[in-house]
Amino acid sequence: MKTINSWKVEMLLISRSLWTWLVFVAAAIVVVIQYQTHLEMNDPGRAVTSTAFIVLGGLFASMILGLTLVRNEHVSSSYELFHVIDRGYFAKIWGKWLALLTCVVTFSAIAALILFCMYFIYNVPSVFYSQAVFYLLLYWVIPFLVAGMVGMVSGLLMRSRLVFAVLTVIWLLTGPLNYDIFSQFFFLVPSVDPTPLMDFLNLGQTNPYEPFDPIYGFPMEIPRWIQKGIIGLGAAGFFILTAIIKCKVKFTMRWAIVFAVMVLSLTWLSAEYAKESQVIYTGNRKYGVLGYDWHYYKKHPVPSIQDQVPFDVSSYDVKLNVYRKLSVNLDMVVVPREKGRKLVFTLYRDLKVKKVTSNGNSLSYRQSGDQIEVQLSTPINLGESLPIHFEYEGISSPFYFANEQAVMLPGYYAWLPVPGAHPVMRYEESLLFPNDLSPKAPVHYRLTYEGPEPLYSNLKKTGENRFEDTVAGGITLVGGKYVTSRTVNGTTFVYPKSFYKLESELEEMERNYRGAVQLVSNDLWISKKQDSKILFLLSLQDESETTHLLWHSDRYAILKIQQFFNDDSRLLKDRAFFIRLTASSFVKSSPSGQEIQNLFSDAYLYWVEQREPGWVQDGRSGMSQALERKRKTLEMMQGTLDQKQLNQLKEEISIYEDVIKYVNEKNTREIREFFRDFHFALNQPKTLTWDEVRKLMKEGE
Amino acid sequence: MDVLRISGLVKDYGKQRALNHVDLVIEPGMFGLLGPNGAGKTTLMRILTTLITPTEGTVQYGDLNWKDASSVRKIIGYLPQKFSVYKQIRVDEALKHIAVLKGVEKIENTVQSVLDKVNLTEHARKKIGQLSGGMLRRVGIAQAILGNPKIIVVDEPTAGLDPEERIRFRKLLRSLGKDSIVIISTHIVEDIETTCQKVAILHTGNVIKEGSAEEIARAAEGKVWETTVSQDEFYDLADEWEVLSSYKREDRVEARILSDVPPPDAKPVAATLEDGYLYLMKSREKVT
Ligand SMILES: Nc1ncnc2c1ncn2[C@@H]1O[C@H](COP(=O)(O)OP(=O)(O)OP(=O)(O)O)[C@@H](O)[C@H]1O
Ligand SMILES: [Mg+2]
Repeated sequence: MKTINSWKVEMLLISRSLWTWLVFVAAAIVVVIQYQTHLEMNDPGRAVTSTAFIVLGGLFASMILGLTLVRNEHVSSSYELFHVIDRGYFAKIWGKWLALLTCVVTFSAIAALILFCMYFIYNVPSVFYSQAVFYLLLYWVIPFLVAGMVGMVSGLLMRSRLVFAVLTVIWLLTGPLNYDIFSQFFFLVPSVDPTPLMDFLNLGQTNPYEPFDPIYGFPMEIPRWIQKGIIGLGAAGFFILTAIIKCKVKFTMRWAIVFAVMVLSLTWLSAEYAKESQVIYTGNRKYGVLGYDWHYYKKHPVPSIQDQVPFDVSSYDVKLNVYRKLSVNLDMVVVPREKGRKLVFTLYRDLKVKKVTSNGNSLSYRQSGDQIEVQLSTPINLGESLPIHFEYEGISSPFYFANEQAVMLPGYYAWLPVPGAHPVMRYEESLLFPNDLSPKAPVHYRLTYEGPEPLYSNLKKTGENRFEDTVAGGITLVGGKYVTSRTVNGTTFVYPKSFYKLESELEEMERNYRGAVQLVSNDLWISKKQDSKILFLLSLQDESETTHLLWHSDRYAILKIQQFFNDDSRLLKDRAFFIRLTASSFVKSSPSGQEIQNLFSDAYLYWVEQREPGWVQDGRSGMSQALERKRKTLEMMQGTLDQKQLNQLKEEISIYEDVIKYVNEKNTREIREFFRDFHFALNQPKTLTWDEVRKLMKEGE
Repeated sequence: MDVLRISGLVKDYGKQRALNHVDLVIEPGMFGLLGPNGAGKTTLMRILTTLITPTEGTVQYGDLNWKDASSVRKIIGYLPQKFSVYKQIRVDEALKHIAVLKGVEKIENTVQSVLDKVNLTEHARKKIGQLSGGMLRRVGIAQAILGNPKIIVVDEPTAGLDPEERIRFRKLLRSLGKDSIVIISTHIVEDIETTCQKVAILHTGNVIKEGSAEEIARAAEGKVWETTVSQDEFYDLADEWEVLSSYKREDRVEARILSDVPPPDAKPVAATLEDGYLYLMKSREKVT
């Protein structure tokens, strides 16, 4: 009653202040502009996440609001009056807290309403509505409330102007840009990595300007909620304690119980926080998506354990549990190609093996880097097969996440132990590429799954959370709230819901894709019939941002897309894009470098364009555009490039010119011959040089 | 009814002693606390209202000890020296709010009757920020008496009021003293002269005299003189003697003088409370 009345009075005071309305209206305008900008680009996730400055402003406003709330009585000279009333000021403090809560919730609710209206106008899928509410709760409501309490506590404890300095420091330390602001000082203590601390203190979203991952969704992993819980509880505890002391309220049994419960909750939360759990930090900080594996594979280009006996795995029976991390119970059947005692597997390094057994007997093993060496008790002979049971769990690569929020495990990634010693990824010219470690021959798979739903897989679904199939190309799993699928003309597309604009274009895309695969496999004599029934459109973050990756396997393919480049949906409708992409996709991780692969796909597309006159838009093909670009570079960079680079560029230009001439002058048979040779040469483990490409043209004559 | 017993009260602000072993027994009725600026009046009032705790000493009202601040607060009404409430809210809103906090029953009626008592009914819907100084003080009294407190503490209630408003205010205060303890602090003697049964004089933290107005006046008994001199003579007189007051009568000046020995040509007159107060102050200053 007293508290409610105090709350009413505080709300009255707030509503009668001009400042309130000014801040409210200004914030609302910023919010609308923010949402509008990103929805215009069909990026409903980014509309919500790229609000760092709003959050920063909100945190500041909340602190000031908290401070003003507790200072109100000093300003109006009624402090003593209320303090003399028994529990009067205490009731008022709770009223103030409620007023703070009201302001924060009202503001966030209005923001949510605006967002919903705009989502509605832009036809955004429903998952975004509910998830945006959680997002606002996690990154707006709780942080603003905490900031407000910080403001109130500081106001209660400090009367001088110093309070503003203190609040400013706290504000910057806990704001979403804290990492960027304080990273300049990190060098002062080089021995410790302050990023985990910075991320913990951060009340907003970490890396707020990173693109939205349409498969992973909003960064709302369990540890982030726990972190907010810990900070929130801590702030609340401080706040209550300050209020009790300042109001000289008797510390009764009731309060003792409240604090005991708080301490217990904090202990429990801390224990939960400490548990192993995958949290995706975008960006290139040390343990961020772009940094974590990049640094590792730059340092570790070769397998940690030497290959031993060559062998295959004929079947996998996988029990996969995904919750905060990835846990696997696995039965496989090993078929050796030679007699031997040591089997070396490749498994992503952070998936830690806990147990290896065979027929109930435990086997000794050694895990180092991406490799596991299993020592058999007796040598295994050719023609025999051996069941091996693996148990492992851990945190998957940040590229290929698996936690309570979402799952994205492509078949080429070693989330299952695969035969042989290979690095899971490779570092090349400062870029990181995944190695294709999927089995090339069909393997029998059985999968039981527990984790984020719905789950999509290249395996056939045999029941609730059960999949089974015999396929090459490993198991690809994509799951979570944000994933959906649709089948068009027999091809199933698995794609993020946020690509809702794409849905009307799936048919055209299917046609382009199928046409391109047919054309390319005919021209390049790729014997294997590429009959992909499932096409995964995934937000893979590996490699450079702009490269489009198309990975083919037995009966399914993965195409890399990015919400960030939302005009992907337009690109995917573009037949030329698909042909070029398909052509390059048949080059298996060539060591020859990106430039020469570009030449191959540019040239191939050019040839296709020449065969279909009138198809090329504006009469300018990708090939001539690439050539033009190279000429311009030469012109502009003449002074800045060294001799070697100049020669290289000139060489490239002359080869592009030669290829154009070649395609224009030669007959179809000769050209086809050239491209088949070129393609074959690219797929060799040996590096192909520009000179050799020239030679290939000569040979054709 | 119980009495308020203050014993051995000491308050130190760091090295500075604001109250020095204050002992007082305050009976129901009006009690005046008289003292110059910095005497420690507000300090004493803050202790009485539990805003601050004394360095030493106790305060007791019946069975109630001031260590139990929470219970004390239930029987105290306080008008602080510097008083206001939120400028943006109305008088009735503010009083209702305070009434709720005090746990008063029948809020509407109580607030209405309090407003009547302080003569503010017609201004009830004005915002606090729009009130005159006198009206604001009356709001202060209104909030202090909400909930019928047994002890009402009023710190310098008439400061900043015009003479007319002051007289009205004293009348208001007098009406409160009927069934509770009302403690008024002031450095203006008239505030107390007509209203208080009991007076204590505080000087640099010490109670130097305590009693009824007459008893205080008696301290200056036989030490107040009156004489009539010419304008020129008056300047010399003022230099040499302690002139309490003077007033012009045609071309002569009539002066009241405070002195242990009779000034020349002066006749003794009866001492007032103010004379007593000033005499005590002076003698105190001579000591220190
Ligand atoms: N919070 C404080 N910290 C330090 N010294 C203080 C504090 N409050 C009061 N004092 C000192 O204690 C002494 C008594 O102050 P107090 O306010 O009680 O006097 P007062 O009689 O109310 O004076 P006035 O008539 O000017 O209101 C003064 O010397 C003052 O400077
Ligand atoms: Mg004072």
